[in-house]
Amino acid sequence: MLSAGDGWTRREFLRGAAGIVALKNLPQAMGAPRFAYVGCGDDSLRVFRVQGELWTQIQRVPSRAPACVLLSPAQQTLYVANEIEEHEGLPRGTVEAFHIHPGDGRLTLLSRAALSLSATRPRNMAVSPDGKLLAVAAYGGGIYNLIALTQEGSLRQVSSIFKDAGCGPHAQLQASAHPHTLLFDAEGRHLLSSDFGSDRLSVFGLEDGGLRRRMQRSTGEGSGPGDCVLHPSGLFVYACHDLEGTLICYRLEDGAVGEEVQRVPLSARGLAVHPSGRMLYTAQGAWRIDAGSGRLSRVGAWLPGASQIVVPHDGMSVYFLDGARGSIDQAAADSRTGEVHFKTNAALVDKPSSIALKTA
Amino acid sequence: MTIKITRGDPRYAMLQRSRNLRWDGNPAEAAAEIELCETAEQAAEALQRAVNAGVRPTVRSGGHCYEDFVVNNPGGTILDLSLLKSDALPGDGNRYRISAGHELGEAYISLYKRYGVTIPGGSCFEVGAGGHITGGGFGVLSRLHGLTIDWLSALEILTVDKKGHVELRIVDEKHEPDLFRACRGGGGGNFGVVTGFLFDRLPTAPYEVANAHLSFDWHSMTEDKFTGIVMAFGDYNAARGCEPDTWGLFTALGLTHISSGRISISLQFCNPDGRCDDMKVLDEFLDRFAEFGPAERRAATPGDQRFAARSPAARQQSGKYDIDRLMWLDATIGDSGNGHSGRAAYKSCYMKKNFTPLEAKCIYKHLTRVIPDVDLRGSVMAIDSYGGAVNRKGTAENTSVCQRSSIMKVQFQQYWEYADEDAGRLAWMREFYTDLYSQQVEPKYAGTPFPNEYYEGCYINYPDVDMLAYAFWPQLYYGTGDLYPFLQQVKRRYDPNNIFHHKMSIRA
Repeated sequence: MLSAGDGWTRREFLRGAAGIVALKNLPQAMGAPRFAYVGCGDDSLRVFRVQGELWTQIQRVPSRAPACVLLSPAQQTLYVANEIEEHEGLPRGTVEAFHIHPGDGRLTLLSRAALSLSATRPRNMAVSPDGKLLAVAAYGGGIYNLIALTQEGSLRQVSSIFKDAGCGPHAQLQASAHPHTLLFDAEGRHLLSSDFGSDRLSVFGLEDGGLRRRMQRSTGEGSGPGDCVLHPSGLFVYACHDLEGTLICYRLEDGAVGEEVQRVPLSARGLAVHPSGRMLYTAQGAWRIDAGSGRLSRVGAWLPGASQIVVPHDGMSVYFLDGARGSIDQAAADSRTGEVHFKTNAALVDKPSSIALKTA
Repeated sequence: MTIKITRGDPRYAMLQRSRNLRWDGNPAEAAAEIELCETAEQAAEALQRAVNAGVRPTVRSGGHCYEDFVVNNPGGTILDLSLLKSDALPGDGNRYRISAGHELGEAYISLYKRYGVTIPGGSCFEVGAGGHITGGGFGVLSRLHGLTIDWLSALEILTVDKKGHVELRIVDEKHEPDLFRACRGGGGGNFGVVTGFLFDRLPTAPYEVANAHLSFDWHSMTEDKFTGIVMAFGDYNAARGCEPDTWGLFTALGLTHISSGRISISLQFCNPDGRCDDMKVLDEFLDRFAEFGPAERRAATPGDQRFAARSPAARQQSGKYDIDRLMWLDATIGDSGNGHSGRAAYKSCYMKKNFTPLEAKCIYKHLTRVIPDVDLRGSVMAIDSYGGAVNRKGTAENTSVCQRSSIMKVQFQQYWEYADEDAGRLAWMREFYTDLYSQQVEPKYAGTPFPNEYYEGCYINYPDVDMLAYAFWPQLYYGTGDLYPFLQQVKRRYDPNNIFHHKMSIRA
């Protein structure tokens, strides 16, 4: 395992690159990324062909403020949340669906859907495991939207709206509800959300095609829950409490957020769990997961800074998107344990905000 | 308990629809339920249920909103206050009360019969007080007595706090004065659910009024004559109409499309003492149009039913003109009810000066424009006299109606029946409006009556979503001063979660 500092400098990148030259010549591993889709702050999506650690930009597509990019379960469609305040004169954001050409990975716009009134600045989405529903969290408006998807993955109009209310003690940042992260459970029956503005986790049921809140759990006054990730077992959820500077493991029981298992200090964004369920990654380091209890034990503070972390299904690599530095870094991982062996820079991108990796 | 109407209820189809049938007919967009509230407490319970369930509440009193701000609310709840008509007075009992569900006609009758007073509100009997007064409350007596909100002393309002809890507040100049001011003209559906209005004092209702009508045939109209009529009307309002002895004179110039046959001038008059013993002001006004050869008969002006029908018993000869002299209540509630539901579209403009010849010619051009297969009957550019007591100093600072320098208010109206006419009619109306308001504004504001030396923007009670095409639309409705930032501040404070929103609500 490489042992670098918390920072990730160009010099380190070069050192790291020297160590993984051999990867370039390896055949594409099964389940390894073939294409990367990066939302950028210059109102564009960038499409990269990925060959090992060699990334080649092959397309640039206009897209307003693409705060979140997300692949359909079959990886045939890319969904984009446009974090905008206004669309066609009305206070609402939009989402877009792009068809992905199977051969070359290029994008073609399928549809654009306006969110419901007041659903401004959508930042996060989740697609149901059956690929039939897209859930959107409108951070600005404090609203959740459900959008039905066609068989081709295109967007229909908003089919269900949930307008949330709530606040936290931070006058500027928590003046109202701010839905942050959405996660479907494996069966697609429940939708878990974190709300940065109102300090709570909620679980919604999908009943009669609509969202109904089944339970909510306070995360503590002024905690500001943000990024969340489910453990592959479905037994635990890890949530960054951004304002409080903690990472908390909660037990999931019968579709509800249960007791707090563990609380560790963490002041960083970006969260991902290795497919093996044995490692959790943050921008401040990796944590080994005890599969039985969900508890974390720190294994090192060596990972690059990141605002988003992605682990492809094959578990052989981990990608770190750092919006501030404009870089996407890549680390090789042990597919069984999630331990990271070496790292390099995959791409330098202007103002990257979100990333999705197509492996199929 | 509220009366809850859901999709399975046979009343649902009737109660979920809009009076303006342009917004009707898409079941996927319609509200999921309607909660009929008979008391403020019921409204509070219904609002809390909506907030807890994460559904959007929209609010309706009379259901006359000009835009689609209420009925199309997918999955949401309409809080219908049309049955909320409490006359109970809080506290000392020395105040007048109008509940949000009162129709204006009911309010006029109640205030008159109980106390002999009135509000200077609108002329349509069935318009609900809730939306009308929060948007300003302008009407036939406004030149004489100002806007209804100028008389408002307090109001009851349900707000939703930052935690999502519903609160009933009674606000006035001493208690939450910012919210009070915001609700005095800021428009409905912004800050909460207004359930009642309280007035410490109100003007005495006029004893009687005189109504008169002139009309002019399109058949014999020329551009010069048309321009003369329009500018004579504007000249009166810009000059003589500003003098206090004329403030009891309310006039309306109805400029219809040529296909309607006639254009008209209608008026209601009383002297400042509420009587019509001295008709000099009325005669003086009517004299101005003698040179244009008017007919003294009522023209069918679409949508304008503010002037009670001529009654043979009321007809009196007054000097040179044939007028209807009516008891005020008869004139006010006569036939001014409007139960008609159809398709409609509206636009507005406040005018600070008389029409220019350029404007008059532009109006003439569009009103005489014939478009194949587009029926423009039912179209009117209604120009109301304005100003007078509305423009009294100090009113703008205490309310949220900033337009206090205008002498006329224009309302573009269209009424029709069938959906297949929508496109042609709306296109004509937009082209007319855009053309008219591109001539005397800076190029960057072209197509709008952006506040300047000629115009003072638009009236929020005549909302027009076409104006959303302009990033400066809030300045059209709330002016270029500090009013809109103030309303945004109030919005953030009293509705931090933006529970109350529609296409043109205050955006915090």
